[in-house]
Amino acid sequence: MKRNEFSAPDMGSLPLIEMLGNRRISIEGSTGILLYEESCIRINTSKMVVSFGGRGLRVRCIGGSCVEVEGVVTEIKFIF
Amino acid sequence: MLIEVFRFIKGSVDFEISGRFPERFLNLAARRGISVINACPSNGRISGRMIAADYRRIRPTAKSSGVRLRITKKRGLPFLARRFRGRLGLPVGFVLGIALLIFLSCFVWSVSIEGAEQTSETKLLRAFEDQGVKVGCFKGRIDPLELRTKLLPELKELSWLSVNVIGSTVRIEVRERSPKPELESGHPCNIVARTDGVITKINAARGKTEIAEGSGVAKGELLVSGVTNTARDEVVFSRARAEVFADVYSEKESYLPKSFDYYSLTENKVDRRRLSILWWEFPASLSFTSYENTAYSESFDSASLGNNSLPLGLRTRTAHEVRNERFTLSRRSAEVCFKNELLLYELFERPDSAVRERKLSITEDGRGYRCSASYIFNEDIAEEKEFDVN
Repeated sequence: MKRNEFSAPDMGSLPLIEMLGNRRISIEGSTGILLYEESCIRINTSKMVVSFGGRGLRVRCIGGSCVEVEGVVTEIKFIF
Repeated sequence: MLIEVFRFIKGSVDFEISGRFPERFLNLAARRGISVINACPSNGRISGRMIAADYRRIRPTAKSSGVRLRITKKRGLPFLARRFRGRLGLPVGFVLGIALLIFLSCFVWSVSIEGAEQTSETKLLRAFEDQGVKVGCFKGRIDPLELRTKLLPELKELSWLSVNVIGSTVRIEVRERSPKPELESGHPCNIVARTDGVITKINAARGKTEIAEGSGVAKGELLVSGVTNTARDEVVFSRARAEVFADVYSEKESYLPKSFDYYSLTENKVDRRRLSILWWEFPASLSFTSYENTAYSESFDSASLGNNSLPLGLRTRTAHEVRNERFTLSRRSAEVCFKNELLLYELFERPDSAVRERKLSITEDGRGYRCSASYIFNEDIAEEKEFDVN
């Protein structure tokens, strides 16, 4: 097998998602909030849209490229 | 907590975003580095909070992005100050009040002493006052270590003291010196008679009794000897210890003039009050009444907040009228006075003596009454007298 045949994806452009159970999620690499509802929050990143579904969801804080979501998260979807 | 204080000082607004795409506003705010606090969605709207200055900054952009911004509540100091803009006195008074409080907190408001049971607190307070520690003095000048070094040798009755400056209160903690126990010296001694008398009882704990009950002794006579002989005829020198009770004759004379000036307080009095704030005092009452003979008393009531006394108080100086009367003493009254005087003499000057006999004779001359009292007291006349053994 040639050495360059398998190349790793560009990890630097992917969002970094950190989860504290299903109660708190912080995403680094956000480019904006697309949808903000109590049952669904969609966050745009450079490569995909991350969608969180659940109850009582709220954006705890929002910075330049970091968003922190709080609430009871029941599902996470990655939309390409 | 600190963040809340910061927000209060800077002022913040609660707002509501409505429109076709309210999330866009959040993205705009994030890109501009403006933090939105507690952003909550409800019925297609988003409500949140933001610092007032940030809100002013982002408002034009929000309008252009097609969302509608509406303030629901204004919080914080700038809005509070705006409310009192027409009443300049209030904020000025508030600031002056704070400044006055800060200024006054540089001085001592009260001085308290803890742990003085036998020693007079007034004496201690005066000693500290001489060193500059008093109500109204500047806190920065108090050097607890220096005070301790200076005052501890002066105040012999104290073994330890500590000066604590807590807020505007100076708390002085003291420990009193325990009295030195009297140690029995090992030097041999005899027991001799302190005064003339007739022996009634001898309780000799150590030593050789030299007199018998019922015998008369003169002052300085040997009662119990510290020199004893053993069965082997050896001489032993010891410290004699004994209680030797004897009937002792004593006389007391006193004199009372027939007429004398007697001073007594009447019910008339005048209070003069002065308001005391730290080291300042202002008259708080007016009174023009004066008496020919006056005695004064003074009291100080300080205001307190909880357990802390404030540098504010009322000093009341009361002038009592004193009446001067010429009093003439009858023989009967003189007798009562003499009896009372003798009673006090027995109680306080001879507390350890039992009165065996008391004879009273009162004579009268042109000017007054003379009382001669002759007593026989029963008391311990034992006195230790050390001697050298060479």
